Amino acid sequence: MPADPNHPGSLTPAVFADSFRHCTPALWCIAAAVLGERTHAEDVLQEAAMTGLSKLGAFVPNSNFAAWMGQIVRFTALNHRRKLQRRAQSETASAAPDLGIPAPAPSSGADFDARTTAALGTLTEIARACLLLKTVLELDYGEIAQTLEIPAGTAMSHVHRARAHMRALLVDDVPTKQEQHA
Amino acid sequence: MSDERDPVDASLRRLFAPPDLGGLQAKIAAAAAAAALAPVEPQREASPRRRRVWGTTIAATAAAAAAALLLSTRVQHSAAVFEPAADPIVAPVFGPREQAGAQLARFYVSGTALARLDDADCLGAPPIPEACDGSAPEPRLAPSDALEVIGECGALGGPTCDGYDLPAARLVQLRVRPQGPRLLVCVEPRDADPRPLLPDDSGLQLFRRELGAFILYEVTPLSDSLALELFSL
Repeated sequence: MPADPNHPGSLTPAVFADSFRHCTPALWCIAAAVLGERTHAEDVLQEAAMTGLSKLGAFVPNSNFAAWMGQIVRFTALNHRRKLQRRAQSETASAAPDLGIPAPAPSSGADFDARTTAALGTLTEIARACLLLKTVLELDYGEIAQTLEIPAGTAMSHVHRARAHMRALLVDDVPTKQEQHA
Repeated sequence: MSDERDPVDASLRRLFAPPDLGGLQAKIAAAAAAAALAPVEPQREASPRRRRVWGTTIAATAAAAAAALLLSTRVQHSAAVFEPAADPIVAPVFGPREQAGAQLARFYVSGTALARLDDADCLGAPPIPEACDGSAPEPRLAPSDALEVIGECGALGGPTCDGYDLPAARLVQLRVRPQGPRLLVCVEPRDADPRPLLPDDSGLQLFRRELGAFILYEVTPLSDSLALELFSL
């Protein structure tokens, strides 16, 4: 990648900080999506930001900052999640995710949220990211596509399929094993 | 716009509404300001050896100046950024593609032996293994006289790859028969393509193939790909 610090479109630390500020919520959502939970999302985002800041020269001038930083966040979160999984596996043999979502009873908010978290874990990382960016931040598909470096149609497909899958798990019916892997 | 009455959407918003990130933004701004005072790092112009000295070069970069601002808080996680060899997968000198490539090269060089699967016999009698079910199509390796599978992780119905530092959810270890070199094939969904770049000094070659919704990469010490063409859906 070109790394001319004098290029007008290159990243300076100040530009980095400003760009980071503008897309912090989206990047946080990506981190939470990859992790499948929110507890460590901010830590991951901070680590990713430091990674990005340490390699400004790798940024292609005039390219999309959110996409570049989003990819760093995804990889940082993946590394973090794998570490957590390895730690969990070493601590307990019963740490495997429970994909058997209990029967639907969307009456209690906390209970339903717990099931939502479990159901979210049955989606792919990219589907989770699309779903959260659309549902929580209400980004349009073009913005999601840019942030995740995927076609807008793919983002739309991920959102629709993820929503249908979540509703099937949480609202409509008890899932079959095959549906969980669909 | 989503329907507020939708219980799933409402639940997602409750669970994943971003917190106040002003503190983090301020820290990053301070770190950036500190970095601006430090010399610009010449990372990309470094000698080929830079890939082996990633840890030590980190300390010399502008980020090191910024690190002090952050280490006082969240030490547990941000410190990992500056630890070189202990867990190089988070080494920040490289981009994600180089990290993915370094992971593959390290895994190859380490000679880690994956468990050998009791291969799901997709041609056998029912019940059909889940991995063979059409609802979950996965690239499958055709039997070959030239290659033998010596281990695998991440396949449906098999052990996961979570215990290994890999940039892929599925990895197949093969060996050229009878006692030839080992090959690795990693399989990822197309939308999670890690696009790895192997380290210059790895002595390995990387081959890529798109197969349906999947991307396959073969890591090999040979000059030609032997395994990729054997995969099909």
